[in-house]
Amino acid sequence: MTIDSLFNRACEALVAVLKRGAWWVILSSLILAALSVNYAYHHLTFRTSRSDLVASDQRLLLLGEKLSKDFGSRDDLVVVVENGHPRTKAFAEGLAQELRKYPREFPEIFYRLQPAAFKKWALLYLEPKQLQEIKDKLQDHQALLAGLAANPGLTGFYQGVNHELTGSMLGELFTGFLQEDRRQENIPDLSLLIASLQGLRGGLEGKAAYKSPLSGVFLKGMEDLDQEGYFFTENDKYLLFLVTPEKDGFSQASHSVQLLRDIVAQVQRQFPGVKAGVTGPMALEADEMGSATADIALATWLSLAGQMLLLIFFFRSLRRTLIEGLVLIVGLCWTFGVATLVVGHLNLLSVIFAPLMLGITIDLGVHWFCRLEEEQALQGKTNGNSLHCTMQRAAPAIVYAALAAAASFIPLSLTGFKGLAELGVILTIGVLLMLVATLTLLPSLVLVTERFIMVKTQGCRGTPKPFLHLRWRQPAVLVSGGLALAALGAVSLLHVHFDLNPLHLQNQKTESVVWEMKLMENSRYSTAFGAITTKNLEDLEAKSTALKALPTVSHVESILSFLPSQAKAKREQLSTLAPIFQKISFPAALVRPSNPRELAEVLGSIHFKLARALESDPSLVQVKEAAGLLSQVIPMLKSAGPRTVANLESYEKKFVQDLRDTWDFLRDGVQSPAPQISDLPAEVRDRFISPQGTYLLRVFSSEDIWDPAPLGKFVHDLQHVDPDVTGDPVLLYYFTQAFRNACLWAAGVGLLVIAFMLFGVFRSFKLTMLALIPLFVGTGWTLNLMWLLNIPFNQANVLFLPLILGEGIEFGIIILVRWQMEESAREITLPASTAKGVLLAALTTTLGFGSLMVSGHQGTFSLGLLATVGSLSVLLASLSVLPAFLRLVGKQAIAPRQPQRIIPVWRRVLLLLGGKEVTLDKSKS
Amino acid sequence: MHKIVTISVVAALALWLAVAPALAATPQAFVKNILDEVMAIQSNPAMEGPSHETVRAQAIRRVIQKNFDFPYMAQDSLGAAYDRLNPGQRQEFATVFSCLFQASYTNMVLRFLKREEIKYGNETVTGNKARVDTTLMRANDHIQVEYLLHQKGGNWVLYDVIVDGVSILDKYKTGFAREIQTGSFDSLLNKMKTQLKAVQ
Repeated sequence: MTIDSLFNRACEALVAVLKRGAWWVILSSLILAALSVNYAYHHLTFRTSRSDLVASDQRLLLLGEKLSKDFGSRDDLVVVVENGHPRTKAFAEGLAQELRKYPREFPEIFYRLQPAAFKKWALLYLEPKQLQEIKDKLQDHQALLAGLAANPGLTGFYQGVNHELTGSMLGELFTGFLQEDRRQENIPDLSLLIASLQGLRGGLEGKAAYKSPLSGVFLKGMEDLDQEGYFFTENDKYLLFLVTPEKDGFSQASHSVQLLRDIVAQVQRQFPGVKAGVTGPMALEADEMGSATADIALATWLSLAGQMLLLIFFFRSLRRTLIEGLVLIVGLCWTFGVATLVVGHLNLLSVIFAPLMLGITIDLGVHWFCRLEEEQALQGKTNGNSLHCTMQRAAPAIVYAALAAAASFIPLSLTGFKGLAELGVILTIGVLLMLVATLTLLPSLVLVTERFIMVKTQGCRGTPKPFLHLRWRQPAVLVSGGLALAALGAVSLLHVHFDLNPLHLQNQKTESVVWEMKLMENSRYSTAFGAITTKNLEDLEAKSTALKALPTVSHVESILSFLPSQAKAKREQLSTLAPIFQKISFPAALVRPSNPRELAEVLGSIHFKLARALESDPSLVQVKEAAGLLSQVIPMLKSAGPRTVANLESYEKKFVQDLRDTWDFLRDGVQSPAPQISDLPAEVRDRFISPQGTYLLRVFSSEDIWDPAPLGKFVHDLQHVDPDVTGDPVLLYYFTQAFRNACLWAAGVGLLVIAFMLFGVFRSFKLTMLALIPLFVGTGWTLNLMWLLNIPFNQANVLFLPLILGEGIEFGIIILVRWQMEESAREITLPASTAKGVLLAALTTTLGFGSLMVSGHQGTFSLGLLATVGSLSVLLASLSVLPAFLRLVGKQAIAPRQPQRIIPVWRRVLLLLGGKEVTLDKSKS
Repeated sequence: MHKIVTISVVAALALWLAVAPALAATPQAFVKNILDEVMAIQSNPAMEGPSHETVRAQAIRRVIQKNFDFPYMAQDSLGAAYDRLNPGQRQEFATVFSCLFQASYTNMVLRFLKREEIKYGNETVTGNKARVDTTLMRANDHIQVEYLLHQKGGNWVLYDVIVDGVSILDKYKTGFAREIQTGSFDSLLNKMKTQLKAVQ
């Protein structure tokens, strides 16, 4: 018994079954489809994380999971607010207030450290230079402060100011030449005077709001501590608001992202002009997945509709088109069901299986229908023998093509890359199921919808028409030209680069990508960071220092970031001020209110000097401002009535209290020891110290983390400091490398598997190579076009390589199997119906892949584009170079198809033992 | 003989009468004389305006020259460091200090004393020292200026001016002491000479 005869018998039996039970086949197919869809609807889930694409036992993933377990997975969402608007901080407070209404959806928000908790250490958080300025100011005004302590109140204050001003002016006149850094003006800085006069004027006018004039001078850098503590990027361009949402799969993530965006929009309406957006790892993944699923759904329907239109055009039959459409839908439904059963979920890669599968498997029905058309033309439209001949002659090639396609996907499932493996499994299942549907449901539908007169099997007769009546007179030219262009593809390959930047794949218009790019471009900040853990503080300090020294590192966050730097040196710097605070102290309250006229006299002395200075140089801005204020305040004091006196007293009380508070604040700052980790708020400690006592370091890159070259440098630098570093950048780096390598490996192995399979089918090395011609030549031409059109490979379109295997080999199989099986085909090289089938198959595949180009997701788009170009290239090679090759090689060079014998086991043993081969060729009997 | 004695006595009497007003003048009168002289220069229509500033400066400087005790001020401004100087250094320092003070004080008078009304307050005499309180008034503003005097050669001379509680002499003392501590007497003298060149 030969394989061919086995095929014939199987086809006869199948046709016989279908003749009797077509309706049963149809009914059971539809029921199975409905059950599959129902099962998938209730059980199929989506996994949106990139880590779901990688095998779960990978070391990096395990490290990442441990990190999440120890420190909690936090800050997956980031609200980025553009600074520069006067109400940026108020916006943050408003947003916090709104988010607190959703404790279940957003269990944790982190946007500010309350300054009150850090007040007594505020001085230690200043830069040494700022500290020195405060120290200088205190020492310069020591006499003023001492006088003020002896006579607290506005009169004493302005007497001190007057004394300082006079001393400064006289000093500049008589001894100014002694100073190294001699100032050009003989008037000192009048900020304190101006600020105090503004306050006094407001106080005399009865204005309730009091603004401390002292903090601007003595607490420079901490003027309004109540407004501090927010998280800004290093260049202060953006305020960052970190949100930890509830995590429970893709649907919940999508819901959280959308809810947060709605809340942000709602708060923005109260703060017109404030620009803000949501980004962060969860938003990027949800946007990518959401965009992909929406686009894929559209692509799938477009693919289906487009293919149907094409079929109507080619078959001139709506009925046959609808039949093919129904077969595709049923096959797709079966695939959803089985995929749910076997895999259980779709990931970022496998979510695109539907349009890919439609594009590949529609070919099976196309070839079947094209052959049916030819048989009906040769034997009569209603002759049932045409159905029998179609099954007998088309089925082998269709089966081999489907098996080859399935074989090309199997290596994907062996890559160890979970995302690809699941896609490979689903596509393999899908192709095989669609094969079953094509060989059972399709003929059944044709049987019940078309009229066939069933006769006894008569054999298949008739001569097919040649493709376009071509005589293939100069096959050598075509072959040389085609092969030369294909060989150029090897050169093109060297010029087609690999773009591993994942942000380039995403829809550039999604909110999360827009804001992530803004952060990267304008402030060198990314929401992704490397993560390192240490067991003790010494290790933490050492690694922190080592990381900060790296040029690829922008900044490092750890629990140490919340403690003042150089605390010891600053404490020593501040300790020199201690004697001043020991000598000077202020009473708790106003002892004696100032007399308005006395105060006016003192202010008059100041005005006298400033007026003289202004006469000499009218361009002195501060002098002009101070003199102007004095001109307003002095008359108010001189003509003060009871109300003004009361206002003065009220203002003076606040002033003395302010003086006391500022002094106490400074004294506490000077005397307080440096804060320890235990002094920090719990929300900070929880973030950076695990319950087990390990410490977390977050490391941020100084360059574009989405660009593979700087990403690689960054990751290697981090690994040099700690080989166990993890975090999104590390995962991303290894993920992109692994994915690319997996695709290349799968393509290579797939090619080998197919080659072996073809050898098993054809039993001829030459025929095997001929079958591979459309694939090699088409791929070469595709690479040329990629180079010409500057289309790079990326993480998405690299999938094209394993996918084009099935496509490319299918056309070669279809043409070659018929060429080998039928003498009539060899006479004309390429029968018209075969060419039509190949053409239609290629165009429907192109539509199937091309529909991906509706996607805003750039990765999906590029896959669609590349696959379209590839399909058309393979088509052209199949209809030109392969037939020319067949013509050139000639019938004699290729042995006719030998009967393939099935050798029983006992005979194989004899053969192995060297016995003479005994053949039983039942086909000759 | 009798003729010689008579002539001597008459000459002495004449001389005494010439200087008698200075000694006979009270500290306040002395200060008033000086301020009147300065105000007359400042308000002289023939010397008005920026074009006559140099003439006014010269006239004011002459008034300052004859009414301040520069040697005393020079010594006092150096404090203990003065004792460590040799006579040549002392002389040189006193000369430079005198010129520099005159230039600075002239500058101050030119800028701050114009058409002010001067009110004379208390006059305090303690031994050979005196203090005269004045108030400079203009429009609604005023400043307190105290003049410190002592007797030298039978005459009152000024040795310090205190403006709103800030003593000019103290300013010198503090500045010179800091300069000598951080540098040296020579560096102080060099700076004074450089400044003198700049203002002359």
